[in-house]
Amino acid sequence: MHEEHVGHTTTTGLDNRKMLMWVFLASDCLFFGSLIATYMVMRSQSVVGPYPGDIFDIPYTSVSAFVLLMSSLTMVLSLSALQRGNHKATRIWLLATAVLGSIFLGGQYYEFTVFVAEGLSLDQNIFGTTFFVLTGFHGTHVAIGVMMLLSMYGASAMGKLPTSSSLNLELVGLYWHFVDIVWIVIFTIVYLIPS
Amino acid sequence: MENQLATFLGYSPLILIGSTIAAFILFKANQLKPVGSDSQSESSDHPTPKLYVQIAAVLLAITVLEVVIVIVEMPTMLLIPSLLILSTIKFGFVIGYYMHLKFDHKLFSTMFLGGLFLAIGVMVALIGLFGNFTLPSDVVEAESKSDEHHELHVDTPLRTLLGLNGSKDGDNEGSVSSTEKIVLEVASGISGVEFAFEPGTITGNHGEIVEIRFDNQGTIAHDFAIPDLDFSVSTTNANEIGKAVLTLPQTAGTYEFICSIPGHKEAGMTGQLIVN
Repeated sequence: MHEEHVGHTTTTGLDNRKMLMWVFLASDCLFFGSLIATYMVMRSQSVVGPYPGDIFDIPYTSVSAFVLLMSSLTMVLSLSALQRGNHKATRIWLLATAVLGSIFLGGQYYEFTVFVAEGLSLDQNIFGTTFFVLTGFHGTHVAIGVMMLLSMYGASAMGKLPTSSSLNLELVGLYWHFVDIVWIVIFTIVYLIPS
Repeated sequence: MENQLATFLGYSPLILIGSTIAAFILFKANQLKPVGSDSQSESSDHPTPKLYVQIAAVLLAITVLEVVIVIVEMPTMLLIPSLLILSTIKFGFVIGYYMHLKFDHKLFSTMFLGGLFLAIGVMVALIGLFGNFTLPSDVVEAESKSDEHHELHVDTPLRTLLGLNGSKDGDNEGSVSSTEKIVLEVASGISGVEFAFEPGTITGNHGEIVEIRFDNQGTIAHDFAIPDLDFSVSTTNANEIGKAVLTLPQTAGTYEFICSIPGHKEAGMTGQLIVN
């Protein structure tokens, strides 16, 4: 799918795949927007506990947010390295991004485990339902992103990610940064703003 | 105030470490060699790795700041706008630089921002329709709330269960028969259950004159109404007691009492008055 499409002329002069990725991200904004709005409306409407204030651990989540922010940096450094033809650096930064993403996922798994132990489950109350659906879908996005990163790493290791097809990596990068900005919003709205 | 100060001091090592890391990264980033060989296919003024690292430091610093203003418990009126502005700045840096929107074709920005603003519109609409965001709880109870309480129906059986379990101890079923004055006590908000009356059943004899004492121990305003008898104890704020005198009807029967604030009955605030 690479070569014949990369140089393809379009009426806008822009690559169709990149356009497609941006359209997808725009629609994903709506997806997360609805989930976030639902959470904001419902989180203080639970008739039984635990309530948001009982359960959130801000310093812990701040570390998660930090990890994801740093993964955006390593992602962009990876793309930058590829565009400069430095394949070894590309792979190192790619791997770093995937590792940071996995740390985030591990942190989220641990957080969910703690919450469940404290009595908050998907069906405990309306706060639990909306919280787990929102953060769970975000975690799913991260997991898919990690798989995409690892496949990029594989492609690069096998020599199938030349500088000429850096757009492939750029698209993965766009998706990855999007997952990061969604977390910026979730971190602020879900965790920091008191209900 | 002292408490806030103590919390702040407790977190000061964290803040110190955070800002030191940010300063260190900024310092290191300034020493990175600028990469001039960025004349790839796209625009010529492509950001350099050094800029990426600097942006990361800014993002980190903003995150630390956000956490600090939450921890020192800045007043809500200031806190929420500040947090929204700070996270918007972070958002802007990531989409502008890391996602290259600033350097890419305008069409990408239009595409993405279009979706983003639609999403913001959807959020504002949903929040406007179904709830109020961080208003003091006693102001919140407007008519627009009825819909979301329908959603809470899933919780009702569980809540009822809890309500029944909880009512076994202080059970004043029916009238406290003193000679002078018969008082029927009903409370809400017992053991954290906002939308329930306790006890769920009160009893009295026909023709009796009783005083209904409604003790609201919850976190928002409620009232106590018996629609069939056209009777109500006026809206009672959280942690207040409302009273009203009721003449029980001459006909024996079961009468439903409710909280007449829209949505509360649906959320489970009902009970029975049994007239013997």
